[in-house]
Amino acid sequence: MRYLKIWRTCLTITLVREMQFRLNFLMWGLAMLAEFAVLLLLHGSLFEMTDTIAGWDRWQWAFYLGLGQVMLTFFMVFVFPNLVGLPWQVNSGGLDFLLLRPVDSQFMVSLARANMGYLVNLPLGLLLMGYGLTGTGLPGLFPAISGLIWTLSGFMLLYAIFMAAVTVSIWSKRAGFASELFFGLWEYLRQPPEVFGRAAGFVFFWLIPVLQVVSAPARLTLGRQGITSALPALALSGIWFGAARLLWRWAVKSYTGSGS
Amino acid sequence: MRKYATVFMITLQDSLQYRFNFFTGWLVNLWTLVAPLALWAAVYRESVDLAYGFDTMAAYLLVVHLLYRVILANDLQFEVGRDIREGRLNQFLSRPLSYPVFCYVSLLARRCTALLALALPLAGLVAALHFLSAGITGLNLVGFCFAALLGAVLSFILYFLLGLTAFWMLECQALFVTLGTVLFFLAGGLFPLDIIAGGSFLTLLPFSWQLMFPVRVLLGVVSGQEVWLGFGVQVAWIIVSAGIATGVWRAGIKRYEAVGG
Repeated sequence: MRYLKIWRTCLTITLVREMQFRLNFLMWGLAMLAEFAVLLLLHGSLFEMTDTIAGWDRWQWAFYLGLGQVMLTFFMVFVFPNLVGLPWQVNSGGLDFLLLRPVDSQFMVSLARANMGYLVNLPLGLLLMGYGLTGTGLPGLFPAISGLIWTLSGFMLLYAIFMAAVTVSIWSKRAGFASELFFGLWEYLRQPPEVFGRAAGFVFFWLIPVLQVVSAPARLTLGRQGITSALPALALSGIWFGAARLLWRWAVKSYTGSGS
Repeated sequence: MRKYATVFMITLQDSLQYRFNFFTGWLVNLWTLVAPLALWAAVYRESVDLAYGFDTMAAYLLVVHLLYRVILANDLQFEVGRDIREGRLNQFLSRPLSYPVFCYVSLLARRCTALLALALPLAGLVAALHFLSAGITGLNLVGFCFAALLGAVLSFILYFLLGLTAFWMLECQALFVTLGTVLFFLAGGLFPLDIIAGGSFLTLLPFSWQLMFPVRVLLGVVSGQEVWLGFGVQVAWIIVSAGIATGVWRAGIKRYEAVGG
């Protein structure tokens, strides 16, 4: 409850700050929208040439893309602006102040800021999901609920992977690669695992399980997968979250400060 | 010239200083190749009929992914914007140093580092493509080098021009990201533009001549007269965009308030 209050205060401060530059606030969202529009143009063109790609028809594909976009939007709003700034905080000494506060440092590093401008992408993602469902039919209550649970678990997994990656900046001091890594992963979130070959599929489904983030909830909702076969995705989320937590605590212990 | 040589050397040293960051950046760049390649492989498995065969498409994506960091100046606008917004431009205006030339030399040094890192995989790729008979000949390679050089100059001017909008907008980071995405697509960075409806129209704009044209020359998709015509178009766009950039730079300097620095 205390953390919810802190988070709400952080969000209020962020919103007030963002409103000082209203155009900029919207432009960040538009940047993501532009990228997504280009992707839609490409995928739309591809489905003009073929009815299915890797066993996914245009409706299922649209749902997958839409769900991926919704998850990415929330990630970009609440998590990305924080984690991407961590290397800078390490270099500038901003982390010193953060560690001194009587709040969990990982919580502050992960959720203290937000970029509401990215929310302009939410309607497009939802529309695309809706468009997909007009072709596949509405899911039943059970697939919808399980899809929602696995969506939350996928979100947690995405957070854990990115958190683990940026934590490295505590040692490397300069991890500009963090955002590149994220945008590199981004592509994997927007294509069903069936698209990837065996080797890449294995690496990105099990070792760095980015392909699990969207695929498990999308497959469950669309009825392409049962609960039992989706359980490993849930387990992986827990394992990665725990590992990211341990890595952060270890990193904080070895942090020496940058003098600020 | 010596002062610019010094700028070149300092920037080169700086970009090589953080080797871990540099290496991981390079590695990430390589693994981003997998997703688009996998997508196209899946598309071609559905026996679609496209202007490019899978070999050519795969080669296009590989070369673009390895080269866009060398040819495109798609990080320059952030630097120019920051210099203007934070008043660092003052340091250049009060010294016998041309800011555009400084930017160009710095960019050149950073691109040399990138080229150094990518030389080995690129050489391997070109050799592989040659042996896989993807249409790469010695002549293509020469034509490509020339087209890439012109493309890099054009790219510098276009992104420098984009950075100059900071004279008129206080917060322009987001604008840069938005336009950066669109410009990357228009440069043919995601796929060859001529595979989508209306794509040929997009090639009339200057953007595809930065990246898409050099890669098409390398892969032998364009040849003979078309190559020479392409060089001419590149030079024409360089002249036109340089003229516009000069005008915008002068207008911007008049407006500049030199806050901070």
